[in-house]
Amino acid sequence: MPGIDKSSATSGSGAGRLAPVVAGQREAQGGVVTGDRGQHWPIDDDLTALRERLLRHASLAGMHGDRLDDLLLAANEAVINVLEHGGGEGTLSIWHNATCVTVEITDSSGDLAAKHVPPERPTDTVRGFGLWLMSQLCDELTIDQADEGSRVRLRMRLDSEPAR
Amino acid sequence: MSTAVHVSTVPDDAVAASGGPAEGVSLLAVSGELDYTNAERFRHDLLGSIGSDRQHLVIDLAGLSFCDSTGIRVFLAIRKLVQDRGGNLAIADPHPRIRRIFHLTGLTDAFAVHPTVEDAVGFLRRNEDPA
Repeated sequence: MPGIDKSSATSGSGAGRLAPVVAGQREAQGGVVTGDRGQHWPIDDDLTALRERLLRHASLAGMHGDRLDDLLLAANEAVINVLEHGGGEGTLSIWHNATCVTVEITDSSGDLAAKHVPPERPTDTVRGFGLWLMSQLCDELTIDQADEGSRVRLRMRLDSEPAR
Repeated sequence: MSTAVHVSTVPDDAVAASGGPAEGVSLLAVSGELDYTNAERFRHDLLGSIGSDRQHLVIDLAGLSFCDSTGIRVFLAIRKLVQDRGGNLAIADPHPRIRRIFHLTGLTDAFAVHPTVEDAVGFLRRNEDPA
């Protein structure tokens, strides 16, 4: 099922936050350790380069076709949220293990919270539309507050069919 | 390098050679990637390319490889402009990635998305002449 993981889409308390995927956990899950612990970039307005890097990493992780396109669209929406509303500064990180690919986008303003994700498709294209798209495109959308600002985490399982 | 998107007007003789459009139909081709960083300029370019003497508009998206929610907003604005002039807008040949965002935004029907330019022109012609 696509959509928001309600249990973890809470802001503030940190309860239910997704634990970072680290190499030790990959081994504990019996997954293949690729040696690639992920990549991390500052966000700027060269979205083409950012999408190319995302595509490359997610392809190497085993994503392809519609699922790869969905992750690309969702990550792009998260990044333009940072440029448009999130103070203009932030970072994008991507990493994967044997079961999923995770993209994390942080901003410097810290204004974004899970409550901003519309439960239904907005009838116009004002703010919230990108967040709604992310919630539809990804297997899991988590928004919380990190020390440096807001943090959006998009996660795609590596064994799923596209959500239509 | 920033994101690039281009709008080109397809000449009538080229249009005629590819199946022949209805009278009063403009055909524009869009290529590149459309996103937050270039959507405003794209809106400007697109508005500048729409002929004032034509009623209907077909946008050929075969060359567009990416479009985000800000790009969708531009297409919505253009659709409104064309409809305000009493015309219709049809979209032709979108990349699966573009088709996907049109589908998710609920705009596949609103935009009259067609697999080819000929189909899009045929749709506008049928709409014009119910018989």
